[in-house]
Amino acid sequence: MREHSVDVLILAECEINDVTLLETLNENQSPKYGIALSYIPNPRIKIFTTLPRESFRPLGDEGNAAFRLLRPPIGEEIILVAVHLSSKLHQSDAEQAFNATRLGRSVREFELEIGHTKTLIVGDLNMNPFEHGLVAAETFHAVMTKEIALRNSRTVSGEEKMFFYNPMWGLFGDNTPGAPGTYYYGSGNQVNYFWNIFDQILIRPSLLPYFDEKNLHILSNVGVKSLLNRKGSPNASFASDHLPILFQLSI
Amino acid sequence: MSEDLWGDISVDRGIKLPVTILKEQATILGEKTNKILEAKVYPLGMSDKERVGYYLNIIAPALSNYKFEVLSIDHPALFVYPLNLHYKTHEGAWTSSVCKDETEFISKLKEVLSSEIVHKVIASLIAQSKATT
Repeated sequence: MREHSVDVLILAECEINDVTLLETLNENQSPKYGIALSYIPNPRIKIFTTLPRESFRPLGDEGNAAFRLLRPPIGEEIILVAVHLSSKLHQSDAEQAFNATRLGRSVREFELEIGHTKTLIVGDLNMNPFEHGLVAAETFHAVMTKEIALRNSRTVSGEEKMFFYNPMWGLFGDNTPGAPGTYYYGSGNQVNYFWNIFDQILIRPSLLPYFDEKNLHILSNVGVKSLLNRKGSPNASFASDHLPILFQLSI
Repeated sequence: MSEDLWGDISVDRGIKLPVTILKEQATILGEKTNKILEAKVYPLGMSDKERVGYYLNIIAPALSNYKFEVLSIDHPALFVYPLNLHYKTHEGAWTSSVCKDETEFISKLKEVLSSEIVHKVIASLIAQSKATT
């Protein structure tokens, strides 16, 4: 965290207790990390921050998502949606898409309630960027290019559906620096992607002026320590079976 | 007089829809907490057009209408049961139960609404709501 001067740290399914984690994060650290304001602790999603904890106004905790209105002391207010969607071990692709539909609707309802669409979704979506649960207009409607996202919306079955931009598309494979994905799964199945990008950020067009893809990375090192094992996949016994993503939103 | 071919039909014997049961419980929460908390039932958009779904949120008006989802249900649009009830376990993960009829649904609903985790959420939101007023 210190290495990258991270303002907001979002962890999914972190089993380290908050006190231990904060002690480690805050060792020789200034400003200190604290726990973002939350009315009901969510054991699946934890948010730590160096910003004043009141910068995070809890809007709701629905399904597997935490909705927060992030108001930094200086800068733009955004709707932050931290998610940890159900694993493919427990849900079929169709069930995942159904739950994404529901979450997509909740996002739109909160946007209507708050009155703007400066929305960022971040977390472990447990689906790849190309799956129906991410791409379909009724779910997140997350597209692979800024150019398309900047069209703002399109009409599908008579309804206007707003886009998200999903920059994670660009991080697959060997043509970009860093690991080829965030999660590795090898199996004997006919179709095997090996590397998946389950951990993603989705950005509404109105936040795109604050985002530069150059500042989006899949991390495979923490300082000098590698997060990968000898085979080159995430080292679950050292850190996690998912690799973290790091990005900057210059609000 | 024509023969009645309809069989036994009673207007008093109709089943109560699960959404009606949820709305009744939502009203009760508001009354039990002197309106410090409210509960509302919302329709769920279903990708399967043969099914309908709803979710129940607790809302804390004093906390800028903070919403906490307690449970959701989905069932066949026509026959209502069996019904899927989705709720949070104590560990925060979501789990599901299948209710084969209204009796089973009400029994499971009671178990969820009176569970330790839901009561902790209610107690916490009441305390935080009071602290802001």
